[in-house]
Amino acid sequence: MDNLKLTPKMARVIKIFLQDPTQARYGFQLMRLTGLPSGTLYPVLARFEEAGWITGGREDIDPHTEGRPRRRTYTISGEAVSAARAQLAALSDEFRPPAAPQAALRPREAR
Amino acid sequence: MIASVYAALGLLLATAAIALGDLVSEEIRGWLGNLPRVILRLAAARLDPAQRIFIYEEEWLPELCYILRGAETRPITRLLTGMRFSVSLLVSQCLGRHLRRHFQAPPVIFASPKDPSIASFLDDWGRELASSPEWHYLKIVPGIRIPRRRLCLGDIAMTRGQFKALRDEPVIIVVPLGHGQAVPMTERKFYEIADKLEGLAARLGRSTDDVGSDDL
Repeated sequence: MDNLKLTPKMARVIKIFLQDPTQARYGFQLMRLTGLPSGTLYPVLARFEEAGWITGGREDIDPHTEGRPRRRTYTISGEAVSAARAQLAALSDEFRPPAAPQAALRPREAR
Repeated sequence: MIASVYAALGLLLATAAIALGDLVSEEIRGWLGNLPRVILRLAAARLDPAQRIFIYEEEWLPELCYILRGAETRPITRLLTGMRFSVSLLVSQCLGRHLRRHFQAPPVIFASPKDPSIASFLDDWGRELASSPEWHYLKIVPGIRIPRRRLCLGDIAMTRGQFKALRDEPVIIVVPLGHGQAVPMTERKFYEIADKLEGLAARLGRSTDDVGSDDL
């Protein structure tokens, strides 16, 4: 598995996978859950797949019964779960606002 | 008598108009239903031919079929969702292609490394790049943050990943050198440079992250 540096958009996608690492996800479902358009989401998924963070599969349906082709599924790999958690934590630290100054929290003295 | 003829004629015309209206609406429905697929095919035409069949047929089209067949309950919502899906992919593919073409230019200028072995390596490589038409010179693309002063392995890896996201040729990596010039290189060259940097870092007694272009 390659090391990846998460961008905020990648973080939005990988966070969904971490909610239930065993669950296979679909492109349209991920678009809905992340709010990312398809033109952004699919390149992100391709990067994760190239880096070995997610693996692709096929939807378990009968295309003739459903009347549509099988969709592609994406599942996070076991190795990527811990790496993704660590990177999300680092990203969260990076964007966490500094603590408010103590003086601003102190109540004003009554005159 | 005349009134009944007019009434019959009116009835006939009304029936014909209703039938025609149905036909027209069916025709429009058929066209509109196919529009997201047509747009998706246009987006697929902009993909790298080697990846086109897999990405279009295995990834994009099944998802669009799912959207158009019932992810949404109402037909207009389904159509709009399908259109949004296809148009977004078309725009991203057009943008990627535009960037690749726009930033195509041969000149490559290097910083002047102090280490003679790296200097000759970069010079040879520069001549190779400048004379080879298959290379693309990529300037720093707006929106992609590339540190301008330092040549740091971690930054290279990040930049490489971002260009892969544009579905560029897998060999292209952009490295900022010296005065902000960006240079494309193959993955093999990247590892060659990485090895040389590691050697340089070892000689200087520093970590590779602390070796900058000023040390070259």
